[in-house]
Amino acid sequence: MKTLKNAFLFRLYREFKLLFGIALVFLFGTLWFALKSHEEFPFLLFGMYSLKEETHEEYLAYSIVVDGEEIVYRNMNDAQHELVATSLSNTVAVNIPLSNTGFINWLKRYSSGNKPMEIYKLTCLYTQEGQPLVRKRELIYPHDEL
Amino acid sequence: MTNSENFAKRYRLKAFFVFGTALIILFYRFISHALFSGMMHPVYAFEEKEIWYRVFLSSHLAQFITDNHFLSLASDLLLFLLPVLFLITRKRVFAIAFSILLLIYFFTYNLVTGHHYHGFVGVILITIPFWMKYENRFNLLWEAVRYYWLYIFASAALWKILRGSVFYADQLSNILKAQQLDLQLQQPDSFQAQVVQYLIANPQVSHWVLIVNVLVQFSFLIGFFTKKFDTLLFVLAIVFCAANYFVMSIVSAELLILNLTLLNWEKIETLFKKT
Repeated sequence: MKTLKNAFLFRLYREFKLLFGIALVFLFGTLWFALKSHEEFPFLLFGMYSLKEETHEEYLAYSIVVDGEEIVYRNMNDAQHELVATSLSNTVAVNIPLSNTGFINWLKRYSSGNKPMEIYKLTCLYTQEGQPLVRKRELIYPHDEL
Repeated sequence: MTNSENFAKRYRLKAFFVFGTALIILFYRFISHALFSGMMHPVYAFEEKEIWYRVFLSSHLAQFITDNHFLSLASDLLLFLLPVLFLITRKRVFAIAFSILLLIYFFTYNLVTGHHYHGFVGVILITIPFWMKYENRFNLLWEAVRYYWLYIFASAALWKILRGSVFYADQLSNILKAQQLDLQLQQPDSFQAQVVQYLIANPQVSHWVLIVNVLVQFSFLIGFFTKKFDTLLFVLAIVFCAANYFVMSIVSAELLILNLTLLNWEKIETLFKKT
């Protein structure tokens, strides 16, 4: 009984009822969305790559070339890398056309200071030694200047 | 010294660490061109599935801030000014305004990338206890944030166990193939790329790395029952985040701000008194 009385939720109920209510909503909300495997802010789920990752034959990467020089992602700070690389791969993944869109204008402004920019989609496969090989290098921006 | 004087001292010390760390994180984001003004009038190209993201997007608040150069600069300035004002005056209104502005920034950044990055949530959460005036409520909220930190790790382990991915021998090797492709293509000779290549080529080794990783995450469950191991968990969290960054290039350093809830503040107070 003493242990129960010292339990956090019990103390919360006794001393801070509003937070107790919020904690209960949070607990049940998180459990509900966890059971549905669906995330809904603020019930964040921290799966951290818990979905089974199958072996794929091909893997995709994107190469941004500014003024003839490839952007090395690792030379960017992490938050910047996320802004450039993640938004680009998400844009391609959801089939948003790259030419003449606000996105590409922003990407040009943000990552190249409006210098000439080319984007390549790299289709890669892995060797037994764990090395990636570029099988196809496809220019996806700009299209119309091909 | 009375209890309230004791509390006031510890509160000040915690505020100094929490808001100081938040300022460092924000400064890093500022020099990374990732705060409101640094994003250079971004576009919001992605459709959102989550309700609150949809509500926030349709409110046009993010667009309103980032489309206006002066407003985005002012918002950046406020992100730095509010914690400083709170530290100087200890007026709760600044802490509340800071948390709200952080939340707006969190949504804005995630809307731009189209990826709901969780790492920043720690900075928002840990400022919330400072909304409270009374010792008891502050302490309870601080403790709640500690439980949230434990939940992050423990649930990550449980997800992997319950979904069975921890038992899948190729799991980490396959994750690395997708996650570290840029690194391997652009800097194949770097030490990090060599380690990644080894782990991809040797799934049995990477499987053990994954198992150790899950065990580390799972060990945070103990924190729900006792605070005896908080110092160990504090160290494990740092080791985990560093290893995660090295092997997977996943940035969870910002979440480490929640590690402050695992510290023994009595000892820190004594240390500060001595120095």
